[in-house]
Amino acid sequence: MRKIKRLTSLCIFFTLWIALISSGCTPNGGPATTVKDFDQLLTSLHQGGKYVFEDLPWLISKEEVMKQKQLNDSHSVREDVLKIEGTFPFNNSSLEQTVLFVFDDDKFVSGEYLFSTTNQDQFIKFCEELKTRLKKSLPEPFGNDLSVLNNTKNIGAQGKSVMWKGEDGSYLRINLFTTAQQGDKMRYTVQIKSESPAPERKGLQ
Amino acid sequence: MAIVEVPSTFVDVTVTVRTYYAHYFSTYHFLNFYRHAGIEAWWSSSNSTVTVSNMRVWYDTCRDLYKYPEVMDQPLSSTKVQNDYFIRSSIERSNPIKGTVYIDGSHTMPLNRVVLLTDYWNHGGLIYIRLQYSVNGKSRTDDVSYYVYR
Repeated sequence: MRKIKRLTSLCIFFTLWIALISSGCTPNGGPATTVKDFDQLLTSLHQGGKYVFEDLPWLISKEEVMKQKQLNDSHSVREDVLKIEGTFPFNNSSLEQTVLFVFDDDKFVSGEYLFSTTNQDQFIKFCEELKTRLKKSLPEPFGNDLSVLNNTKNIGAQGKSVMWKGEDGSYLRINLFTTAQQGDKMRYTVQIKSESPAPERKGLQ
Repeated sequence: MAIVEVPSTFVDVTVTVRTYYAHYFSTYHFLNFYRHAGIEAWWSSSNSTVTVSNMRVWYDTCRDLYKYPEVMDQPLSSTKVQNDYFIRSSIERSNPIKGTVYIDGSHTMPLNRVVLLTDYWNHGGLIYIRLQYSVNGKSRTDDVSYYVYR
């Protein structure tokens, strides 16, 4: 009888643990959230002619990002990267979603959303929907145009890109590419990368 | 191959630069890698008084060089080839002809190499354009720069 009780308690504990993790919560209780729809995604990237990421000010410290986003050490991939994993609901299914916060010298300099799927049809539909939303929400791109998001059947590992430049010198880039590890299925990925402003330069040498 | 085409407009004259590169994302490292390929550039204007005496376009890529494809799923330390690698594609033309496409396709990285950008402020793929031109009889020199990747 005691054994059954102990087993039941263990089952309840693990069920709660899995529910906690899959809902995007960190083990210490903080909500490590990812975006859940296109409206939320776009408002987290563009504000008043400038490109931002997750409503965070650029150049704040890693500790400050962790505090504001309620992340912990388990989200730290390396000293210069924080990562949240989740899913993005789309068309009665979902894409895998990875959110990266990137630091240089302990300053928050860029952020990336990666939306991935092995289902090519789902990827094509996601790109079409993204294009429609971007057309409504953002100004004309600075480099290339939104046609990059058409005909996404033929993207390769080396990528396709469309980019915007903000009034303050911030950038937003959308890159499409495929990845496949040995023996794995082909993965189709949309990367949305927002970058903090940097001074104008006349070359890198 | 990724291609980015950016028109940069000065006074009544536009210089369009098409940049060629490859972009790879490693899900092993959660890092972006790039391979510099080449540039094309041309100028256009609807103002018939515009003449261009010099057009300079640089495409710079700078930072640590790695073996490709090994770096995609192996440790950075074992696949690094060189620190502070630098490559420049350059178009420098006196009296370039309107609408003519000028190319530098000779400064390309080998297909088995990629760069990793680690210093946000000093590394990237930077386009720099400087134009010496005349519009409505007045001489001007203007320049602009932007990052194709960073």
